[in-house]
Amino acid sequence: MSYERAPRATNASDTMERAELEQQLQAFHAASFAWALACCDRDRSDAEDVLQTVYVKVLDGKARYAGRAAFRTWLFAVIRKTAATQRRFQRLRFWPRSNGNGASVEEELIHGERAAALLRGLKRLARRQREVLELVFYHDMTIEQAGETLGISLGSARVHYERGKKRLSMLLAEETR
Amino acid sequence: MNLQEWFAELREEEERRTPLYRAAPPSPYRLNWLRPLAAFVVFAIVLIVTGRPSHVTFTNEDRAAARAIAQWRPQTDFLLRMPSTGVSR
Repeated sequence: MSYERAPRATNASDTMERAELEQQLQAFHAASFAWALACCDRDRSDAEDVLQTVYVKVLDGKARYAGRAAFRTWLFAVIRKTAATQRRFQRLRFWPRSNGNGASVEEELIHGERAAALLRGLKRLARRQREVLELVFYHDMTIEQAGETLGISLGSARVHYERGKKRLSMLLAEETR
Repeated sequence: MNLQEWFAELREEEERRTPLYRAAPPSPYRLNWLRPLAAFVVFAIVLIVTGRPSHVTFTNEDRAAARAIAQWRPQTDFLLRMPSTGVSR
């Protein structure tokens, strides 16, 4: 993942210049796409749409980074909110987007047995638990940063983390049996 | 069970299929017509509201009708009169 290569988030209180913003977005692009995928239930085209909308929001100045949190935390929060808005709009659609068997295209593309099992396990968790676990294990965030991204307290994030981890371990153990 | 390993595997799989970064072009066309349109709508509403006459104008017919109504006295008005009517006037 590109976190090591990513430039450190600035703590400047004033808003970034467009060039600097683009540089940051590019640096976090892989991680952002992975997070968008997670927020869109692994639907690749939805994730791409969400990410494009987020980039437009950020570059047009509709979503402003004020330097209160790390850039990645802030960007992930914007992605999560944009995906939530898109989900609400999708509920208003007249036709379903499922490909029949309920598995997303991304899941079908996953060839690794363990990765596929992990996706199945994650799907069975509550959304909050899934989000916290993805942020902590996939994106190497601390529980505190995960809480900040999701807009919940550290205490709540810890509870979601513990419960989710326990349940996911159980589900994966069942899968490997 | 080491969840980190499981997630690392998933991350590797998904990383391979990450689309290239494509900087979203700013959306000038949207701002170019949306803002003037909104300004025009607001201006039109203000114009309509302020352009309306603030006082009511009466025609001669209106005035004649109002006079006729004011002068009309009901035929049975006397029935409502009491002995004390007019004393306090």
